[in-house]
Amino acid sequence: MSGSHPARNPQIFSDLIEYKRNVFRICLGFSRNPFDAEELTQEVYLKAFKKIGTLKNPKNPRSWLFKIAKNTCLDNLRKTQGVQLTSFDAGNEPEDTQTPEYLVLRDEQFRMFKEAVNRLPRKLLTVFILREYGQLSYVEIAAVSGTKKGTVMSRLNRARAALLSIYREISDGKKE
Amino acid sequence: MEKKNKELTQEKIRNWILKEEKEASQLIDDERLNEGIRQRILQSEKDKERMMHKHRRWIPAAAAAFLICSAGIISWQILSRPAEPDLFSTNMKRMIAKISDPGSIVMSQEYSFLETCGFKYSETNWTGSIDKAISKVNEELEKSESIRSPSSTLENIPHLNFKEKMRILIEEKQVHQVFYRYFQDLKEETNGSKSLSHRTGRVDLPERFRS
Repeated sequence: MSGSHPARNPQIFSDLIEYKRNVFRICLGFSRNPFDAEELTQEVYLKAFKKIGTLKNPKNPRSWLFKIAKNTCLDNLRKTQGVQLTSFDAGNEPEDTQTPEYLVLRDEQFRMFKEAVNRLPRKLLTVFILREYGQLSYVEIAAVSGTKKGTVMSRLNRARAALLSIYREISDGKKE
Repeated sequence: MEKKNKELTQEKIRNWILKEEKEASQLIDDERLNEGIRQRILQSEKDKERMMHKHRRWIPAAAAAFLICSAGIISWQILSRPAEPDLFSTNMKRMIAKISDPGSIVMSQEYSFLETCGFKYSETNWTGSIDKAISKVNEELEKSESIRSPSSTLENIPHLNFKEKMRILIEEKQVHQVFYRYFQDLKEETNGSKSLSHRTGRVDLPERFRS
């Protein structure tokens, strides 16, 4: 694999396919909908396939792929003018183990959480999704975002604080 | 306990995300993802192939049209080119351009042109041999050598009159033809006499060329 041009080496693309789950998770984080995430993942890999010749470091294609994923998702966000809340609900646990009251509360909290994530500023949202959904390291996020590791850590802290603040705001608004 | 349930904790966030991913994975598993990516790339390649095929059809037609047009333009240029290079005309045009510039000292060139043709300026008239002038013009047509004149003659030219004459010639836009025709006319007037100077000793410019 090493030493040959990436455009002429199909092995590199096969290696990239191994990260499809990470890519899918990042897309899910941005789109908040598994079907949109699926579309976006396909889009990311199509772009990667077409641009494989521009890959500068074939030994480490991960960051390159995640950068494409991030840019594709942000482009999609711009097009759709913000993430749409969908009817998809992740809280489908076996109902016989949960009380109805608990299920209602959990669904409501999850909905508020999604809304809070949607309201995060773009830069904080990107770092948050790459970390929490994509499970990327700080160094990888820094490479993907084109920033320093310290900036990533700082943004992630701010993202979490902002998320908490927005969540409380939504929660308080519901009570009133 | 109830408050803790309502609070958004890091652990809760992680759990939600994991749950969300788990649910999404059940809907879209690895196999479906792989197949989707494969299909998308295949479709893209097919589209590319179709475009290439489309281009393959019109590229030869465009190339043929281009060749035909190029050949046409080249033929037209060859056909519309003068039979022999009109170098004398080029020289005259250069003179005209200079005459058009009020600040230029083109008079000496014009003066020397006539001098080269064997004419001499005296007060208001030009004198000289017609045959010599014709042969000089012919020589100029063949050689197309630029006409040089001694700058010392410049002071001797009543340039305003001469400029006016040249202005008329320029307006005719046929400077060398006018000269040529003028010489020919003079030759006919002298009944084929080889030298006008033998008869009159001088040649007058036609009325319209006079200032």
